[in-house]
Amino acid sequence: MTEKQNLSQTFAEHFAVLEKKLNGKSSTPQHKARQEAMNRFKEVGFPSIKDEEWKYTSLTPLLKVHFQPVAEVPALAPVEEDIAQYRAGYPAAAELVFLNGAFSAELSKIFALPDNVFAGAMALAMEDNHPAIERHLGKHVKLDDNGFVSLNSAFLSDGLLIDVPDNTQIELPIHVIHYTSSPGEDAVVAHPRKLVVAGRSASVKIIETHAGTAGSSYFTNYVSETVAADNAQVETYLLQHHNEDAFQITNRYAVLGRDTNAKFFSFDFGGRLVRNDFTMVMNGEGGEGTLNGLFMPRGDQHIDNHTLIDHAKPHCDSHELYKGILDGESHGVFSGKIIVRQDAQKTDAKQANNNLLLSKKALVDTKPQLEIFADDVKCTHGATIGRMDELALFYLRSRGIPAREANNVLSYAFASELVEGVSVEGLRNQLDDYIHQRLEESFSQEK
Amino acid sequence: MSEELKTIETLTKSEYKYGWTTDIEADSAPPGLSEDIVRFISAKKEEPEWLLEWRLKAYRRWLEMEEPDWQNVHYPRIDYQDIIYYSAPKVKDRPKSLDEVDPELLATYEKLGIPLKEQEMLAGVAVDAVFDSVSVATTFKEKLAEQGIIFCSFSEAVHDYPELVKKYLGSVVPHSDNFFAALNSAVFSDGSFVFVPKGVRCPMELSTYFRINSAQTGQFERTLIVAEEGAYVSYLEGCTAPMRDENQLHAAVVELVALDDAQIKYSTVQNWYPGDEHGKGGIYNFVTKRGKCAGVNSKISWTQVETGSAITWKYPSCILQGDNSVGEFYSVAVTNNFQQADTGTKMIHLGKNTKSTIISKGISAGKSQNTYRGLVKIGKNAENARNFSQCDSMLMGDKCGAHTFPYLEIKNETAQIEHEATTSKIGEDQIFYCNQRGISTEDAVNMIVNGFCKEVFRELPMEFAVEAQKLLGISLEGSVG
Repeated sequence: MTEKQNLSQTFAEHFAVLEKKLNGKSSTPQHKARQEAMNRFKEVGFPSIKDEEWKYTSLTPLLKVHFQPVAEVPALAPVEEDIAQYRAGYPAAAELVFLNGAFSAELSKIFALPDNVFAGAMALAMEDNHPAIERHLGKHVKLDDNGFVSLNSAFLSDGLLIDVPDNTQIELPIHVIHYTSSPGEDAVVAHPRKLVVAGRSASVKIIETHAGTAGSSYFTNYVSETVAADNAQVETYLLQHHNEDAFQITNRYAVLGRDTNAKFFSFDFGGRLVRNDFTMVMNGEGGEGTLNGLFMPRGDQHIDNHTLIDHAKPHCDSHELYKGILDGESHGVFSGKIIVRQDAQKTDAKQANNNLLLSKKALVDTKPQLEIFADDVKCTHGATIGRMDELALFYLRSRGIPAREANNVLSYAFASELVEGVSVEGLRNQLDDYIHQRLEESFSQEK
Repeated sequence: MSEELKTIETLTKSEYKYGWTTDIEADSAPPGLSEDIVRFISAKKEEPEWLLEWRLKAYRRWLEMEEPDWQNVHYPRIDYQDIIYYSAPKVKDRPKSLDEVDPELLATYEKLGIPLKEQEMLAGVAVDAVFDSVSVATTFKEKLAEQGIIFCSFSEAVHDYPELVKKYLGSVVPHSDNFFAALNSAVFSDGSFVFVPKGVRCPMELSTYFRINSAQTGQFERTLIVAEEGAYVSYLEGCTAPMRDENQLHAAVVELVALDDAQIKYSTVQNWYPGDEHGKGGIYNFVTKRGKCAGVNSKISWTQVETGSAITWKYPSCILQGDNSVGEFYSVAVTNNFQQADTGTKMIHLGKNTKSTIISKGISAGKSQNTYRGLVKIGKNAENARNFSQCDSMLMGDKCGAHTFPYLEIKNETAQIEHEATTSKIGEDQIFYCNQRGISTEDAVNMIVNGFCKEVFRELPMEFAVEAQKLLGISLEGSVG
């Protein structure tokens, strides 16, 4: 059996276990959807580097991992201790914790949320037939995009739902921790899921931290859907702090309505093999979407960001900026596509990808793409790859600043453009400190 | 429809000038492809045994290959058994001089604006004329020979300079390189061969003029240019074809080899028949072009103006193997009506301090699709590589598409890579500005488009630059919304 078949087999076994536990709930529409997703997964399977979209990312390291036959419910105590470091530490409206994709009421706290807002376990919402589930869950992702989406949907039983009704504004951010706990010998698989529905003129900020047990291998297969109705304001920050043995695959979708303003930031620090797919659809006139990302792989980390911005309606603006700082023997990939449909006149789309290489063996593949079918549009994209500016470095050193500090200052300056865009002050400061510390680690090693 | 659009409509409808056919007796092979056809072509050309072997090797490899499908152009499947792989104007003996060339043929080139005879009198450009599958005339041969430069048809080269051909044939584009290159390697019928010896600067522009005449034929020519140490050569090619309802395949291979300090400049003005305004007919231009900067300080520069062909699908590339070598790519691709283009370049940096520049301008009008696809690859040992790429697209009308797919693959931290791309249309304010100063809309559009393409045009040799500007005018005038 090939490694691919092996892993597919593992997931088939997982699914059989899940079905056994259903206790007569196997005929619910939710389970029908799961079965369909599982069948889709069997058809689609795992992508290979022969697929154009996976040309630079090989799944081989993931396929070699031996996963636990059944995900066990993690013990609370050690986890609680470990998550403490990821807690917000700045004012938040709520802090919701998910362990291996399932909501943990014990570890979560609600501080100040308006009553009409739902923020919590998807499982609960499913039982209560929450309208957002019926209307949006699984309606925006495409099962056959790649096997990981169908796989996540096949194991969908809990997750995060945030539903903000029309005209409701939440000032403070909602902080979410997705924690994958893998204490044993064998690695664990988690399929966390998120659905955010922002009603008309609603506003919400979400910060999600992804992390897991230190020193162990695990695989997080994340799918997220965000629906922002007309005139809504949505900001989402994803901080990825997995350990350097972990695998993370994310598939995120966002649909923006008329005059909607949505911002999506991602900060990728950890993970051995990370692949992020983001699809943003500009589905109403006058929408404005921002897609920003910073990725800082080192060692032998591999971080791949694939984005697709689909301008379906006229008069929309999109801004996209992805920056990579690569050290060690790491490999960074960026592929950004902007599609401007024939109807989408007066589109203004900007895309940039800049990469800074800190070491001789770091590697970058970048593929910024434009597909334009409307004539009255402004679209630009740019990509740069380079190392530290010798002149700038010399300038600082000639003024008595040691090489290490000069390098740190200049690299931080490169990243700061993204940090400055963060509107939550506490988070901004945290990122500041973390990036400085990480750069410090890079430059303190002898090269 | 706005006034502007109307003028543009009338302008875009200007017809293809080179759509007539020459009534000339042709010597053709039956349609279809088999080992026998490959042997037939080889026998026709009285080729040595090693070349036949090479062709057969390519043919067998081709049989195992699959037609690629990743490209952003769409066409019905080509029936490779329905193509005539060899067609040549009938001649009793090889003409010794231009005087012996069929007057009908000379008249054809006269009509195309390439009077071979006159050019022999006036100093200027040396021309190799390729009609359907074979080279019919090469001018200025003797004069070039004085300096040791070889400029002749490929078949002549095979007979007269077999060692040179054997040494370089397939050294840049191997017979198994890709589907169409393998096909070409099996059935190529003629082409041009240029060899510039050590330290010689070629005193004139060399040029090949390609003409497809017979119906149902495919044109498969092969060009091989070798510049030895310190040599310089500038080479141009032009192409036209008659208007026909069916699609014709043109799958050529061009190989350039530049040794130490050598420079090769290769310019193309491609004006194959693009099909009519309903997308019927036209040439499929699927060409493999690649240059190898094998020596240190060598330079290869591609300039192309692509206005014709129903489908253009090619990536003139540079392999920058020698240290300090330079690769350049300047391109203007214009598509109108139902034309499709998927073109760009590949810059493979292998040597140290290698540099490459890519300037690509795509203009799409009508219902056409125009794609830039390019690869910049920096190898592990390519210290201090430098690349600058700029891809600009201009859209005229709301039914066309412009696409950019750059691939940057960097394996060395000392590399400096910049890529930028923009897409725009001709601004109403720009047109207004011109109108206000008494410049008609058509002229304004022409002027703006020419300005848009100027960076590329100024790389072309003078005569070609003028031709290219005119061509652009014809292909596009008025396509502005």
